[in-house]
Amino acid sequence: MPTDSNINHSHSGPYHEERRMTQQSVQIGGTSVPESHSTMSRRTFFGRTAQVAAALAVAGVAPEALSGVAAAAVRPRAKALTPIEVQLNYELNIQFAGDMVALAEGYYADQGFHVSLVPGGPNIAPEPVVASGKALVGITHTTEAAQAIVNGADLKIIGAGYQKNPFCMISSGKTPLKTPQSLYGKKVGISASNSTTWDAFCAGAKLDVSKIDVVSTSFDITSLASGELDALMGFFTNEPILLAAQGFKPYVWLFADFGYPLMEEVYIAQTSTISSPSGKAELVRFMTAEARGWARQVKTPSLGASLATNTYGKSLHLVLEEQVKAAQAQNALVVSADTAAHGLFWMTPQLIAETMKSAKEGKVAATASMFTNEILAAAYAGGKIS
Amino acid sequence: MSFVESIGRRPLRGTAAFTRLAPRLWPGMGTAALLVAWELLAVLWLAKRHEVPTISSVVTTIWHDHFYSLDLGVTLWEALRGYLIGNGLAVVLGALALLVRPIERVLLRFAVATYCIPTIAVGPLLAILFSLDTTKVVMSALSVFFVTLVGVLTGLHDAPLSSLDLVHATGGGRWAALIKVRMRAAVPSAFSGLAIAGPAAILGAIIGEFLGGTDGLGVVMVNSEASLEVARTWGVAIVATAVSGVIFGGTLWMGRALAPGYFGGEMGRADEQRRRFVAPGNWPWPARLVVATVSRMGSIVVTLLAIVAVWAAMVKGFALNPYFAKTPSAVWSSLTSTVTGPTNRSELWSGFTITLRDAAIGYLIGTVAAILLAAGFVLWSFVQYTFMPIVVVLRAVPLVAMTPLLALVFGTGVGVVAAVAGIVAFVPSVVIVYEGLRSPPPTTLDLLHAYGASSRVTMWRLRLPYAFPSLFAAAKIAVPGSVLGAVLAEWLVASNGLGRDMALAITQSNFQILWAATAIVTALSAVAYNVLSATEYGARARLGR
Repeated sequence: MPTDSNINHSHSGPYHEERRMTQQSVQIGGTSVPESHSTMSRRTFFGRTAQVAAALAVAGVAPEALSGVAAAAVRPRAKALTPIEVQLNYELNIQFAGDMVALAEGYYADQGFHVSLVPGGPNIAPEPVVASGKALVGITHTTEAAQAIVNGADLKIIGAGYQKNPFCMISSGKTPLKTPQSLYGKKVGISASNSTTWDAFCAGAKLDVSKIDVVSTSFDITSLASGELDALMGFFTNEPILLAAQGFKPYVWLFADFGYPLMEEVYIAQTSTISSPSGKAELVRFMTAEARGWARQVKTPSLGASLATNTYGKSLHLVLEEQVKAAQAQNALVVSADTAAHGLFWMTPQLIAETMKSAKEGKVAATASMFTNEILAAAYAGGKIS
Repeated sequence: MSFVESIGRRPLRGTAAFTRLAPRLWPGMGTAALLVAWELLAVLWLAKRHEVPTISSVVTTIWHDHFYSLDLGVTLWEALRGYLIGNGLAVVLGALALLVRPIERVLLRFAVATYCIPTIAVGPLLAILFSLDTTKVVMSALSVFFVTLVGVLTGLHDAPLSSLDLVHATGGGRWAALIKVRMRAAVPSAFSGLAIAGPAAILGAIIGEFLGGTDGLGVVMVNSEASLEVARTWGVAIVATAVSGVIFGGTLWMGRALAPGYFGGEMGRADEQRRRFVAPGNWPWPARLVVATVSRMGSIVVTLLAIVAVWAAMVKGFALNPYFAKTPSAVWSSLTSTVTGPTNRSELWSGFTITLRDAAIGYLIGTVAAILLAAGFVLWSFVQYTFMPIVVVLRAVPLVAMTPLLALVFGTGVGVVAAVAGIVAFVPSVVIVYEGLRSPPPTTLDLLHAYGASSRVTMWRLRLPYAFPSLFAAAKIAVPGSVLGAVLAEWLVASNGLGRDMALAITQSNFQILWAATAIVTALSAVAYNVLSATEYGARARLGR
């Protein structure tokens, strides 16, 4: 049994030897963590310091269970790495390609982090996990983040992974439903975790929801193929590509093109982290690594696709060819004229204003103060990454 | 001979012509008929709708995916730790309760609460407190604690009085009685709890995996659904069911090997009523029922207070962020304030009525089917041989795996919710009612036999009246089960109901709704458990038992 949760995902043996020597790791629950963190975490169990919580979380991870994907370092490093968690809103697929690249290529480690990418699923919301301090950063849906802030979460949005709203409506190529209004009288599948976004879109597109037969689906596109549903709300990089691969010809339109522009896959962090100098420094370092990972991914879409298929998402039985297609489609959402001008994840005043308008139409009272480019500005101080 | 013991053995009664026809063939034939029906359905109709893949495509997928061995290992490792922790606590606390009697009632109150809490709803909270892996272990442990505790307590109480008297007469105290007599006596009953705990632990782990993960059956399931890999979704469900079934059957077998007098009884006979006030036997039975129910009210109040106390203690004790961790008083004020109160109340009420309706439909169908099947088991042994394996499979199937598949067949409205609630009610009811039907004293059976009464008359005049209390014993488990099953189905796939409101509340950071709904579901289940427990007691009293 490996004694370090890193081992499962790391490529190099010597690194571990070195790390063990330099950090004097101790054994807790089958994993090892740096001594300073482990003793501290015992004293302040459930303390809300991000670092402590993260160290504790690492301690609680059994190697076999791989509940988080730990940093895979590729080069030896003398400096101790700070363990942090990043809470994702879904399982590790192409959607998090840039993160996987940053992990595999050691960009996080370059910034002094031992990152655990904590996969999400249909039942998780990243906001409470970040608000509690367990994760330093979360990746989540914009309206959900805004709603959480409205409901008292002390969070801020520090960057947008997608410049363009990736949500789309998929119908059969044989009987395409080409506009929002054409959904009237039809059975439309919306998963519970997408419903906030859907409500906002309906308001933005001035749709009368009562005329649409909304069915809750659990990420289930089978029902579209089976004809039980007439249309399905999906993710531009997921369902259309899967359906096409299954021989089903989908007709797809983006929410963004029908009165619902929105940044998506936003990065959230605690306001208190942003306002503390040390916290801000950590976020800046993290976002620098993140931007490097995504910049690399944008240039070589197959890299993240291969990492998702063969390394981090192995259990998901992903198909490389589909993941590459998804990665290519994804680039259109990640890069834009704005990111070319200001760097990846940048939120221009116009994008923020559009997002606020879209969110407000969905009764989510997003305000400009929920967004800040402060971290990105500092990260790109020495030159933008795009 | 007991229900479980009788599996695969010669039945005591039944139509002789059928029993002579190599009874061991029947289970195989029942299963074979099911498989043929599946294949025909899949090939002829459903395959076109991508809903039910053919057996061959599922088998190919399972083979190609190496039986999900990596993911199975991860899920089993989570479940095993949860199983050991949950069952270890149940066994130790159960034994402790026998030594320090006042502990027992408090313990049962908390145990009932763990059984009645919708596991899926506490997952997101646990994910904040613990690492993802630990969360899954805790969810798994929560799922097994109650069933094993009840099994252990029942067994410890049911120790033979003569042996206990002997221990006490020779100067032994409670400790000696526990070690020398009760522990041994508890083995059969404890094993029936442990058998149910196996599949329950796996189910808890899989529900936990819906929170996220890189490996595990639940993780594969979520992604295969998203990827239109219907055959894989079925494959995972089948592997999970098969493993659960093997663990269930293996535990039963072990219990039988360890204790030859194994009765294989269902959980739910915890005799917590023993020291309660009981109306005199010459009172009319409705009056005794009322007395039993009223004396139960105290328990119900204590259970509810216990739930609220644990809830408040968790929020305060862990100093959780008030944005998501609502205290009971915060939830109360969000329901009663003039600003948010009306909206919140109406949302919860409409969800509540839908959940209650769907759970009730499922419960009724499941229970009626269970009674008919149990009667069929007694009347015709071939029915037992044919359907028994299916009941065992249903007992072991991780519902969370089946729910999306059931949704494909039944739709996402009342159909799937009632189906899940019905299955949850059906399985324990078959077993408990069957035991009830077999419970008339041999002398009474002999009497009817001597008068030449047909088996049908015996059923109607003797067995059914004797099985009456077991209907409530079954309901005590099945009603909370139906409610929780309904919530689970709503959470995962349905378009309305409290479960769906809870799933939505998480994505919308509407945490007062989540906490309130969780409290309502838990309270509803706990109240149902206690009331039915009292009714069962009253019914048993009516039969003089």
